[in-house]
Amino acid sequence: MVADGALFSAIPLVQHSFSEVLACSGGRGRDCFRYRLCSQAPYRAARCPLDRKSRPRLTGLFFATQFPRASIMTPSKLTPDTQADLFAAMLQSSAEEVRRVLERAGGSLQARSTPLLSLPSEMAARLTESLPNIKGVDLTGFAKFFLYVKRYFGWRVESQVGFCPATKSADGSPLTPAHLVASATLRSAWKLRDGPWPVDRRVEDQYDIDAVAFAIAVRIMGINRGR
Amino acid sequence: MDANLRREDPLSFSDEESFGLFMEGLRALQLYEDEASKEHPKRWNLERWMQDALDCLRDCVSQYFVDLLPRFYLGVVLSMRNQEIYVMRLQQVSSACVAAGQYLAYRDMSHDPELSSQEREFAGERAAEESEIARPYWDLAHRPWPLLKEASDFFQSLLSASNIRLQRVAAYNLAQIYGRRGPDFLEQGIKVLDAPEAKPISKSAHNEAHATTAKRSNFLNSLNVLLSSTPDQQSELRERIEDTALDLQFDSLRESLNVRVAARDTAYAPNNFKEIYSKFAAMGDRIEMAMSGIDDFAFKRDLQADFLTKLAYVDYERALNPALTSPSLTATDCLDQSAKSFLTALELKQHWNPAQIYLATVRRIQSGVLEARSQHADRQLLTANSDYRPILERERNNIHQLQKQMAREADELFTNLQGSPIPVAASPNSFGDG
Repeated sequence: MVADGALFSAIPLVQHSFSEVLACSGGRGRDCFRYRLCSQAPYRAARCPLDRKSRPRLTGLFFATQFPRASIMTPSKLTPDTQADLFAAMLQSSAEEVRRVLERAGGSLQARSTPLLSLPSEMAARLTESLPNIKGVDLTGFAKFFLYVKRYFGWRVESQVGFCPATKSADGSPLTPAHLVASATLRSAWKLRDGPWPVDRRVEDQYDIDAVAFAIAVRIMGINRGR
Repeated sequence: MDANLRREDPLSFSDEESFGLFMEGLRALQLYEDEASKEHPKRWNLERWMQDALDCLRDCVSQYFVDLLPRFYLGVVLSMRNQEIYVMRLQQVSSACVAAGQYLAYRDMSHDPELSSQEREFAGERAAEESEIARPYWDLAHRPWPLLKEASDFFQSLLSASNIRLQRVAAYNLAQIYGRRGPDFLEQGIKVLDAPEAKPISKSAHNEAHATTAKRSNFLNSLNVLLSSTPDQQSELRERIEDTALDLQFDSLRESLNVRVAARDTAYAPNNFKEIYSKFAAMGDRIEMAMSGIDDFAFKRDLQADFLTKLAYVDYERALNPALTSPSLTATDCLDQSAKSFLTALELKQHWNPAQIYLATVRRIQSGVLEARSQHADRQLLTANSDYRPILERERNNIHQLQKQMAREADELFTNLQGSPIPVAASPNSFGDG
């Protein structure tokens, strides 16, 4: 994205120090390679400043260290006829849909079309509680620079989406169906926090976006699962 | 299934991809259910969502077998897919199904004391002929149903899950599937319901399921508290009510399997079928009492509709079993009783597929019964005197009308179950040049 490039060019001055802080395994005292490195730096102290205990205080000044919520940035178009804005909007509503799907799974005793039982409500509730929030779609891009900077240092979702139309043979018979390809990453500042999550789904046309948006949203929201 | 491949926390997933595939499958399943519960579902949508759900959950289970919830839902989706295949097979043997109805009507007539011995003998011969024509329909119950086998394997693998609620729900689903797999699997279903994994979560909850009076006041209290408590208390109460509802589901399924075993075996060795049947039928009152205090919960409706469907299915099986019918309770009576219960279940849960499937089957069999009765009326007309003829003709016409109505209802239900195909778009030429 254009905005990323612009910001990255301004960041290298501070990037070295903070990336060291984030990468430090912490607590090794004078044996720590980074302690020696840091002794050149203004952080010098009796104890290694890159120790785990001091790390949150430093990073907390600039970065959101948890993933309580993330903003969705304008998706990049991989192909000209892609509905990127629609995809961004669908991504946000899909994040809500993830919750709804789970709540509904635990909402009744039976699965609706069979006499079999559904997921116990207690389990569905615990799954829903652990989901992070995806809020706000940033469709303003670089125009609102300060808002962007704020979001840049918070958690944000960057995505790309492209539409591959169906192909037909010379006689008009279908060869391959239309596909929508999307990928997303979760980032804060210049750090890649998670992903990429590539998704490729068969679609009817370039507006048939909901299934792909849901697939991306659920992978973003699933980053806490199994950890 | 390898017991070592087991995740301690059933809510955890291997990674985002596993969670993603699981959720996509669950969403597709819910979209399928939404479409299936419409008055006129579209076949294209049903096929699409079923295929999506199967693809996502199969991918998820094959790549991340240690994750528990995908296995649970793949079991559910497989049994739904089997349900679709069952409907297709029923449609393929529709004429055999009608013949089954004719067989039942002639069988009833062959024991009817009001008919002459000659008529009874003729009815007996016709019953034997129709039973032979109905063979493809009889054979359906003994088919292997591989998807149900696969689904039961998945639920079986969840019986060792660390979460007791998941264990119980999986045990119930496994027993339910054994019940669907045919008469040879009924005992296995009962065994699963009596296994330690399926035991009630707490003793008090179990006791509540039996102490109906105490339970009623408990539920009323629960409802009052539910309306005025904190979210934590609410979820705790909901869990308690859910556990009790689950206990009732277990009892209902156990009793229905017991009565089906008794019905199956009574053909070879007379047993206390009536007693077991009464015990099962009494479950309806227990459910009603237990749930009388809660009006707002969907699972009250689920419990009642499920019980009525099970009861109706037992009545349907009873109709087929010559050892359980008599001139005082004919196969036709059992079918009427069965259809009535299915209809009540469908009033509680509109467009509920299990009730729709069996109601459609019963309606088709009933149309066969009425066809046989119409044929019988025709034969009576041949020998009837002129005074009696108009009455007989009227009766025959009524039977004929009713038979048409039953056949139409069955066709409509089957069409709804399979979804209506997308109408073929008219080609530009079909509008004519003008």
